[in-house]
Amino acid sequence: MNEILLNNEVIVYLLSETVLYLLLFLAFLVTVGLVKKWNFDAFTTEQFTLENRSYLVMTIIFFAIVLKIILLPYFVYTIDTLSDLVPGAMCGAGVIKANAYGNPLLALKIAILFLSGLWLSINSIDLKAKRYPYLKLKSWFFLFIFVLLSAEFLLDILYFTHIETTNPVSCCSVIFGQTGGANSLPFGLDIPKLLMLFYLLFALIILSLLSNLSFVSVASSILFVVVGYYAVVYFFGTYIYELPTHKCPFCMLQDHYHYVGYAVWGLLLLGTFFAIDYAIMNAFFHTVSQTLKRIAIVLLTMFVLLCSGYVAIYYFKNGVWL
Amino acid sequence: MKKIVINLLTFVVVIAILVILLLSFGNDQGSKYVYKGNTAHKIIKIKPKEYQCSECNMNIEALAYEAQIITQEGNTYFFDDIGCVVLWLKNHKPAIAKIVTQTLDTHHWVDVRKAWYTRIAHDPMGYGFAAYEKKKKGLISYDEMKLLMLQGKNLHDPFVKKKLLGK
Repeated sequence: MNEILLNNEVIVYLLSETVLYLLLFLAFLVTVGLVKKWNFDAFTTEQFTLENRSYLVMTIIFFAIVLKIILLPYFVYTIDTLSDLVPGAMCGAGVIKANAYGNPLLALKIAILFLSGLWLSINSIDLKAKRYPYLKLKSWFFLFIFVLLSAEFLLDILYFTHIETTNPVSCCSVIFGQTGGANSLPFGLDIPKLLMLFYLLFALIILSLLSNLSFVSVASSILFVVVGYYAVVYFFGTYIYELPTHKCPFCMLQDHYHYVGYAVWGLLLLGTFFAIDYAIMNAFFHTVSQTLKRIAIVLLTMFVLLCSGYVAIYYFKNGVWL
Repeated sequence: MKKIVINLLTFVVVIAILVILLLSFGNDQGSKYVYKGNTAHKIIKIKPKEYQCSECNMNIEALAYEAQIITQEGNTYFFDDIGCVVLWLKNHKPAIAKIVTQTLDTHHWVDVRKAWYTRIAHDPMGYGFAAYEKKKKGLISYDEMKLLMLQGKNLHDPFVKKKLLGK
């Protein structure tokens, strides 16, 4: 048996994923029935049963989705612990690239995180209304998310069963390190332009949230996730590691760096999610939640301050830039 | 008044972002991987560090090991190592006009299928494979080299390295 599957964290992770998937599968079956037969204007026994059932099934989905969101950082932690078992891997970067399923799985998990969060918001406004106005919409949306969840569950199984402990993998210095001077940044950017774009996009998200420009908020948030990722890996990360050649998104999740990676990536993903969530709720459902807006602004500001703080502290301590 | 200021600031920031993106797209400092428009299917002479390898992204610096794939439509892809050519062809299937490599013995451009390969060269990627124009003892054919490369039986494998180099 593959020794990866005997690792405690992997057992806990896969078991949790399986239980949640089974719950979501039951919810999927019930939701299909709901979508087919739902008619709020009908005063039939069947409709009454459907309403009771919908409340139960939405509670199950809510519970499973919240746990799935909590499982994302645990998945990253699991990957990180596997670096002790996989030869050549010094952190999660090598483990995630141990086979072809790793990167698509991580990307899919982040996409599901965003979509699930949106589902939670739609569910929340639907439950507050008296006539379940968005029940059909959120049911169809859940069915779509369930397709992605099925792909994710399959990828989970394929990924963990295909990690070889005999084949050496590349460490992060090979994956993200100096590639002989080739430009690894997107859109032909260099570091100064990347940083300008980073701070300008942050300003644009804040301004668009304040002036309720939903489309601009969504577009700038999506771009900020991409630019933020590259800025952290290729610039801010080097100040976290205090080494100009160390470029890696995973090493900062380890204890030598006080697990700061969880805060960095968590703030970036949650901040942009709340910004997108607020913009979509505002544009399509006309619900203006000042709380969502404040949470987005606070989280993104904390993210930018945290990244910039590392650079500033390094400069004050050493008097030079990396 | 406050709303006008915020909208004006938003407009200025959007313009600044677009300017940076446009400047970057038009920037020549970015990576260069493909030479387009080579419909005559000629071998393109390049300078060290001018192009990056399409497979491993490294700068092509040691021109003695350089290889090129020229497609029917005139795209030329550059590689720093013959091993990278094999790996790239595993995932890409363009209509190929020519695949050529530099040779270590004669420094000519030779069709990869007509060249012979050593397993113990000091090539940029450390796979050990490099082309020779003239057949010598110990050299292997392209097909054999390709098979060994795809199986991972190159100098990256410690067992192969020990067998071939004794260390």
